[in-house]
Amino acid sequence: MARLFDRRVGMMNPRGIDMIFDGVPGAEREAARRAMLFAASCGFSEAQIEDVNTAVEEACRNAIEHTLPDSTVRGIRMVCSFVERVLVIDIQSGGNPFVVPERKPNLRAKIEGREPPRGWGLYLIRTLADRVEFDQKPGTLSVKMTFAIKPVRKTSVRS
Amino acid sequence: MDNSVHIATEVSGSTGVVRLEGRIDAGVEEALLTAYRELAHRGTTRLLLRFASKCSINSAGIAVMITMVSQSRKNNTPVGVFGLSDHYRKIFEMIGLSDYVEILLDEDAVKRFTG
Repeated sequence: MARLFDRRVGMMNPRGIDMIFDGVPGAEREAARRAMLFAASCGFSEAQIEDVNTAVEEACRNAIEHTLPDSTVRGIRMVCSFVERVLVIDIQSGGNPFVVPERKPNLRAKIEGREPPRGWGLYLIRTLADRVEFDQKPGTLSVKMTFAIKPVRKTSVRS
Repeated sequence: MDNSVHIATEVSGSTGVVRLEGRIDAGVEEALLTAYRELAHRGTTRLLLRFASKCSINSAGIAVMITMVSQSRKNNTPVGVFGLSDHYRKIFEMIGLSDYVEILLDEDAVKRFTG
């Protein structure tokens, strides 16, 4: 893939985004905003654009939280592509591998104070994206999310 | 990017109302729990969270909501939620929070909740 990135700013073209941003808290919102704009330009519905926004923000937050200070991987890289009505967003970073829970977090245990209330990010990513691949190699992490354009449902009004 | 959040409280009958506007994340935990405790101290027995239309909530903000619901359940205080966008209503349902709070869809439902 051609390298199109411009550090911090990134570049958008009709086919995709390839950008690198600093792994500092708060940067996830700008990355999510870029992904959201790209999803909009691809023709996704407003509801799906919101899903993209939340999933990307959580994936980037996760990457930022797990980035090692001495990582040789520079910043967080976000690569977005859109082919045949499918949006693929890959968040790449350098850092500690993390455990990907198989199960949905136990809300009841959290409400009852038996578990800490946090721990929803990966669940949100997995639920909002159509498909998620976690690739964790020593020193490099990747969370690749896939979103397919869905037809907008028409709602009927009940009397 | 704007990270500000605005939290305001008021009492309506026996209901403590918390108005939320902006970004709900881990940074609001202390302010929100303080607001809840103050409302409880004023004798309110129900809690209404009113979200402004431009509110956004991330996973850390969800954790804050869970802490708040957890505390209110200990005090037998029912929680109503009004103003969530379709997206966040879907997320509340996905994670199961809608089983622990009453999602209020319109002002009539708010009136019924607050009594």
